[in-house]
Amino acid sequence: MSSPLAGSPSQDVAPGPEASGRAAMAVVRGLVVRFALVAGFVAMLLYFTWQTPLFLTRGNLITIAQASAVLLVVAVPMTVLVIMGLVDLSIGSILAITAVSVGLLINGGTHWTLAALVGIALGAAIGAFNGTLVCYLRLSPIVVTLGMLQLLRGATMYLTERPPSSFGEGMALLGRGIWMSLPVPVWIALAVFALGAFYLYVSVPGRHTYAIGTNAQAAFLSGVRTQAMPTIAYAVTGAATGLGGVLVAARLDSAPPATVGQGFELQVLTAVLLGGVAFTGGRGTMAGALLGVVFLGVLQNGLVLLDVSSYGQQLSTGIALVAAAALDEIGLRQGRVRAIVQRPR
Amino acid sequence: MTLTVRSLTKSYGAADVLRGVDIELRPGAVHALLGPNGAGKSTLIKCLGGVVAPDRGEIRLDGRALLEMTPAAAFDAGIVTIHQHQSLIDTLSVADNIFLGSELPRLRGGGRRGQQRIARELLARIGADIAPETIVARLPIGTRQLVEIAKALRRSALRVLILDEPTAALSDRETQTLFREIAGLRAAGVMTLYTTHRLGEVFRIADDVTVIRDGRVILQGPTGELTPDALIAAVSRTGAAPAAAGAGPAAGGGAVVAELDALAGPRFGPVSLSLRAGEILGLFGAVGSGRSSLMETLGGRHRASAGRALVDGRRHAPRSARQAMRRGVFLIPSDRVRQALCPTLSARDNLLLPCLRKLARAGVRRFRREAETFREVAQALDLQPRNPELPVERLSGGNQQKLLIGRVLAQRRDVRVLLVDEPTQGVDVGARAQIYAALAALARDSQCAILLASSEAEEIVRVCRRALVMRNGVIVDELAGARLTEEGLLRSAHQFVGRA
Repeated sequence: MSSPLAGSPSQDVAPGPEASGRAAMAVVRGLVVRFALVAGFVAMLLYFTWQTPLFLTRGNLITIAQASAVLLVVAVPMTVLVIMGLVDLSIGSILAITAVSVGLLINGGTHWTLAALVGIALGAAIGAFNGTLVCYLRLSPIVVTLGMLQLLRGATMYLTERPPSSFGEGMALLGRGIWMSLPVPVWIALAVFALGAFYLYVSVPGRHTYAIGTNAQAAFLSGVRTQAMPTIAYAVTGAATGLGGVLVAARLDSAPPATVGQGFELQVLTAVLLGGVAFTGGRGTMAGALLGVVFLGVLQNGLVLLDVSSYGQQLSTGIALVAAAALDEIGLRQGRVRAIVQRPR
Repeated sequence: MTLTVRSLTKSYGAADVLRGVDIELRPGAVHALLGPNGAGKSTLIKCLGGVVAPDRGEIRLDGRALLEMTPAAAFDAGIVTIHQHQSLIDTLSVADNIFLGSELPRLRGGGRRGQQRIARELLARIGADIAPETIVARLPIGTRQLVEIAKALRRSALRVLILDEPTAALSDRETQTLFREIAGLRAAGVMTLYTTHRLGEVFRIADDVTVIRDGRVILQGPTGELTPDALIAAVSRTGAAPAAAGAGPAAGGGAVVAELDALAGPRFGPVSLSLRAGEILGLFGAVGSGRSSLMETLGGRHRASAGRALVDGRRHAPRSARQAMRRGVFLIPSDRVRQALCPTLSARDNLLLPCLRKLARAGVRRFRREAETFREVAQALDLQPRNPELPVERLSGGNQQKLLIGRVLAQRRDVRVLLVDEPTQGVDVGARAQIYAALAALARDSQCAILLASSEAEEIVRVCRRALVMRNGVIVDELAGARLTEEGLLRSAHQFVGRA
């Protein structure tokens, strides 16, 4: 993958050796569409830099990275799920129940490392449960995880209504510590991203992931484990969300059961789709998901610096997502069904 | 009263698909359009149907030029296209599909009842024994084609009927019914253009023939003035009739690799047979005879309900294709697009999908080995174009099929039993010869057993030395040696039907 932002690993088709000027033009147009997100991102950076001196400072960039870290940790496995043609909408509540459980355990005297591991394992177990319902009982992923979103939020409230807090030094280091001039959660997120990219591009199951999302029946008949693999992907998404819950609790030094992780599933999904991962499955890249996460982080940070209201922030996030989807679709059409769209002059 | 096409030209990007094609359809005549995969047949048909706008050239119906063609405009002019990939909605009934988009108002004899009555008449006209209230998903693929034709017949303005490989998925009986119906349309003055890969058909049904290759007309004229050899020479890329593949060891050679003992499963059984190393055993049967179901059960898609199968002396009851492949049993299913290919993924990914793990080291892909394997297999099969990054949906049917054979070729050392279901559906003569040769080489070199299921007698006779005939889920005959002829196969397959 020499160009990591290419829409999909299979979408680029080199023109034949007899490429004419016409074909070259089509390629240029395709590139413009494909890199529109990058172009928009750069334009946004320039705009914020021009508008406020606060934006392009070391401190602010670290703030952005810190704010995006948890999003990236979960966006990576979510990208794999979406490429398989699946989705997990319950992550907001998985994040809440793991953050609150970890908090309660630490307040109850458990060592923070053990509590964190329990949180990750809890997330993995919930994810495996989601995956089993979706892949083995063949229930709709949207229905199952939407139900779990409600169920787990309710369960979290049953655990405690008073937010656990004051988790001690170890958690403070995990959530707010700085290592080699970057916050610890950012390093963790980068490690997760590296793992995800390795999985998707270099490992065999990575290829199988695309096959499942493109044609599950063909994948099954080609010997791909079309039930076990997505189930594992759900479990990994749950585990990553559990890790996210630990990081959030560590950063806030508190885990309010009613609000923590509220709307997190929509943020992750927005980032993933913004990065060009197709909701219909079979298409998308890790680098795209990373760009989506960073794009969202910069957009929200910049708008806060410019004193734009939270309505304005929501408005621009929505515009960005729909615009990205439209550009993606136009790019696809140019490649595939251009002939059908074109009418004679 | 004619449809005239003059110097039709169409390019996609840098690729010239049609380079000045002339065709004239005569009233009441059936015109067969032949050519290897990628010759431009599909594009020509799309131009006539208004789906694709030609770059240059003109289409005239009754001397009037058809401009600004859209699918709707073509339809209004009486040009009806029935596409290879079916346009029926699976979850609706036959009658609802026939009337889709042109439902009759209740007051003018419409409504569910009225539509079903008319649908029954239309279906009866083409000799199809289908209840109009049947849900399309419950019909076998071959039968669905008849619904499509009934749907087209419903349009009273039918002037030009364009059929894209109408017989590719039809059983023998359905093919005959279809031909009868086309003869009826001929009498009514309808112009018919149809594409096919089955040369035998052309002489039975077509009045005129056009062969195109690389976007140009190679051969054109009345069928009566052409010989089969001339047609084969025009269609095949080499310019000569391909030599027979020649297959299998002499009878009795090779050890038994697989044995079925009264195996039964969904829609078939009990079936007993044995497969020998190095042999290509034919399995002849019409669409719906249970042969696909038998193959899929051995390949791990369905579970057997009774009896047993042995491969290399060990019990073979796979729960998934993965398990079957571990035992060396590989299935190449008949429905390429739905069951075998990931259309938007690259040719390389599709080719290597089942053997990625074997090429990898501890789950980490080794890109150079993958590239070498692709190059080697693509060369052995003459895959065109040989671009590993090309999405497989852009390959022609013949090359898609070669790619599926390539999947097995890429791990030929591990193959014990290869199950091939309809390997040449929608595949041109040239690619067919290459596929037959590849299968024969595989059987010979890897000493594996190949079970080749087909509904084309010609194919079985050409590739196999021994063949079983399947009907209604059971094996009704075994033919070998001098008895293995096309007539013999057809006679066996239909002996219980009475007069087919």
